[in-house]
Amino acid sequence: MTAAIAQPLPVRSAAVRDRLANLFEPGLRVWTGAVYGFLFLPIVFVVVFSFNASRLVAVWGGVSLKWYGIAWTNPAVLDALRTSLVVASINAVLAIVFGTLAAIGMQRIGGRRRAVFETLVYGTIVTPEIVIAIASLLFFVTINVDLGIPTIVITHVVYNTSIVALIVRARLAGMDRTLEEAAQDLGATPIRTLWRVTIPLLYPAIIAGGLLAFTFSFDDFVLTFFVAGAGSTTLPLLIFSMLRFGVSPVVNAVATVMLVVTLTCIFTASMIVRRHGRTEGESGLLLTAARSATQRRAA
Amino acid sequence: MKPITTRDFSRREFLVFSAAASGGLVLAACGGSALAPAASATPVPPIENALNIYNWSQYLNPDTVTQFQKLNASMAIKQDTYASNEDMLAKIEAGAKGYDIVVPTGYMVKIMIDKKLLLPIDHMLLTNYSHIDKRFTLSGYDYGNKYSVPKDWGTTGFGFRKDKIPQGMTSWKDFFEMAPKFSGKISVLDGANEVIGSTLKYLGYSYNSDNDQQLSKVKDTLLAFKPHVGHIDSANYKNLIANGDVAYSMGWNGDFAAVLALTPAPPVQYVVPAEGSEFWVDTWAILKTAPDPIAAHAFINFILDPKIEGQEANYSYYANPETDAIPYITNGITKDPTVYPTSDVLAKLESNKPTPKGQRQRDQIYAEFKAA
Amino acid sequence: MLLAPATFWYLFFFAVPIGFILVFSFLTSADFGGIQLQFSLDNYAQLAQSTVYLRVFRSTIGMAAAGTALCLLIGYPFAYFLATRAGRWKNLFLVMLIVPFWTSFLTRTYAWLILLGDHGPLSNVLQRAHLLHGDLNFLYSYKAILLGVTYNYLPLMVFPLYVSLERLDKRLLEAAKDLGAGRWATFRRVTVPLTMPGILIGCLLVFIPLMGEYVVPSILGGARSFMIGNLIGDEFISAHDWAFGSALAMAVIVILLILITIYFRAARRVTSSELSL
Repeated sequence: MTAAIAQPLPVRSAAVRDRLANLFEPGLRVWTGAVYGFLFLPIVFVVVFSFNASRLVAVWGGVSLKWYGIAWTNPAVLDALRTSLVVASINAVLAIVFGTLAAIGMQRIGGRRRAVFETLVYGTIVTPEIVIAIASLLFFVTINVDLGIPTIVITHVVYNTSIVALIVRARLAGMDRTLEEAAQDLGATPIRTLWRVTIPLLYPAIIAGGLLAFTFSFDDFVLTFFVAGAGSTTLPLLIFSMLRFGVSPVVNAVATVMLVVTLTCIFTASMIVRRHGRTEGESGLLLTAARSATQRRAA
Repeated sequence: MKPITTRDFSRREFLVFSAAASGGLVLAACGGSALAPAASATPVPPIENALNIYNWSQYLNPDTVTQFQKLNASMAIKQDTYASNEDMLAKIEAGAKGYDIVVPTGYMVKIMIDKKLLLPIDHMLLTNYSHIDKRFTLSGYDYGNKYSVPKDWGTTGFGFRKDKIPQGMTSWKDFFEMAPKFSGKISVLDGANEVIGSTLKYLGYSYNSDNDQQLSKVKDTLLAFKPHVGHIDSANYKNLIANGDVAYSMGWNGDFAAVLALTPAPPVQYVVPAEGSEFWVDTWAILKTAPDPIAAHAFINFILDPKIEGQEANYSYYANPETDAIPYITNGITKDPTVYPTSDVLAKLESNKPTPKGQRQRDQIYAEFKAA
Repeated sequence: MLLAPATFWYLFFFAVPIGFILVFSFLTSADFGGIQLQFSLDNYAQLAQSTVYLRVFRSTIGMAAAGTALCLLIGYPFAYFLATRAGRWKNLFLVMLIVPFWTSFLTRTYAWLILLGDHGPLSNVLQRAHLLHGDLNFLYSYKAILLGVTYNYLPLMVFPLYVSLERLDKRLLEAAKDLGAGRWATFRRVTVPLTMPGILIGCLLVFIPLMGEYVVPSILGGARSFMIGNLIGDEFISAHDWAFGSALAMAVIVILLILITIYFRAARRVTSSELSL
């Protein structure tokens, strides 16, 4: 390789090279800025136009909260909001319990069994939602279970457990084991150690995972669409049916509210993580959280 | 790395979180019936204070709902919507059992009767039933209206923009053969029966044919037509044609009448194609698993009042089966041949009545049409 | 035993339902919906023989590949910036990357519907700048779907790339420069191979869910573009053909399993340490 690059380059293309090289840094920055612009454009648009007094997108009618007012007094919207909150909460609780236990358990078993379990965990996250949705629908129909809030919660818990498990495991991996060992040396039973030492140490990850699980359930569409039943319309389902009739500022208002709820959860999660110290490096935990987040978001 | 002790974790945070969780559970408990265990085999379902209606969208006047609620204090009325009979059937069959009332079109009523999904109507509870015109009680799909009560009737055809097509369109021939000129600016309904039936009429066959050769020709026609189709939609086509996003669109007569009632009225015209098309009747039906059939009957009876029927027509722009309601219809649709067609137009129409074999063929052709 | 609750849940509500699809794909659909217990290979036969459905598979795979490639091309420089130039603001940048994705997925997609409409804001701007004459004509097409999926899946690509790039030992890049390699050569022969695990994971994380994408084609695609996810959903809801729908779903699962196996083989060849990010 050295021989190949040792040859002197012709002067002109060196100049070109230099100019390209000079463009590289600013180019990179412009690229990054453009990507952020691309990412934020629709969001900004939805939020800004939820305050548009005029119904039409083409016309800016001044700032107004009337669409929020309409959404707030619309019984269908309130109903959907309540259903979404109920589903997301129950799902978060279950996901936390199952996921935390799973993470701790995964840490303790080794080799083949861990690999099998891991496959299950990753499998639930990576499988396209439409496949899980259809499978769950068939399942519920065959065992003759009515569709409704319970079925929605059940299907959400499947992948949210994995999310929580991954997040908790990330923290567990970087955690200092000496405290656990100390507890056991002092005579604590395994269960006691678990409850009084391990789990409290994991609280930030657990809370973060729980909030993420809440968010994913709150925002979920495809799964919910297939397994929802009578009177169990969630906010995303409502938005979808409203969207079928084209654009409406009320939808913008509802979506902005959803954004606020979701963002609050996420920032709370990251605050908690930050406050309780960094074992693996903050970016590590946030990263795992974020990665699982976007995996779910997009699927 | 600073050792973390349990005291670091704020008790307050834990309390907040468990409060939130238990709050969620409390809300869930208030959600009541939705979480009740499934499949209770009691013959008389417990009376709830909620009516669940599964309906097409924008097909029930909100004023009607409010008025009914006023007469029946504290009755909560919830609506979910669907955009095709098949979607509704799929959900009902899949176990969405909490609905009291559904709104199937005639042919779907027959299917649901055969599948034992509907509750027989107790006509003693429908004091206003006498207002329904006699001819609607002798329907082919449910003779004597044992399981369903007619709601609205209408035609399937298409509408076009007069500004884009000044020479006008009158037939399915126009619809299919003008497609290359307006490629991408065409919309069809999202329904196997409507799409295949229309093609059958275009080719000169019966709307309900299940002849293999005829349907094979239908498939070829549709696959050649597909590249020009811009939208397959049963809910948004009104907006698309009102905005000029499409040049012409398959659709139902009342929707086009509603478009024409906008101010300013878009230059749209509705056509019942010369070769013939579909005549349909939508109905109110009560599910066998309805949680509150008494309330369901009461609601339907309330709507059958001519004044309320008129109010419904003013909202949806569809014709209803009660001549007694005509004095209460104020939006002019009774004079509009789009909504109330003349008898020679009616003579060209067929009701949708697919055989099981025909339905399967239609579903297959339609799936390929959509995927093409 | 700690794993018991989660395992039970996974098995009962994930593995078993998928098993149901497997079984149903070998049965026959009843009239107007439902299933009959009649063993048959017809569903697979129908799938293998149909030109239309196979075309949908092909175009879905094509779309998934195009989307993945686009995400990679757009995401790599972006991740590079984040990993090497962002400095103390790294976490802020990361959070800013995630924030858009915590709005409702539906609303974001439908926002594009308004933005890119024939008479929408983008159309107006371009027309006023005389860059466009007539309607925008972007929506309800293959390219609209491509835009939508790239938009939604970009972070999935960026995160693994970021992690990989961050772990990259910068001294190796310096060493290459010292040896006289130009930027491009360094990139090609040092950076890319060392970040290959991240690239592979990113591609996998995008490609797989993209294969089953449902919402974006249905909102932005109009009649013209139909992906396998839509087809499967439709078979269940509109066509009531549960058996055939199950066969389609099984086909998707099999394709994905094959891809994952290929990934694991390729990843093992590249490196053994960077696999678990």
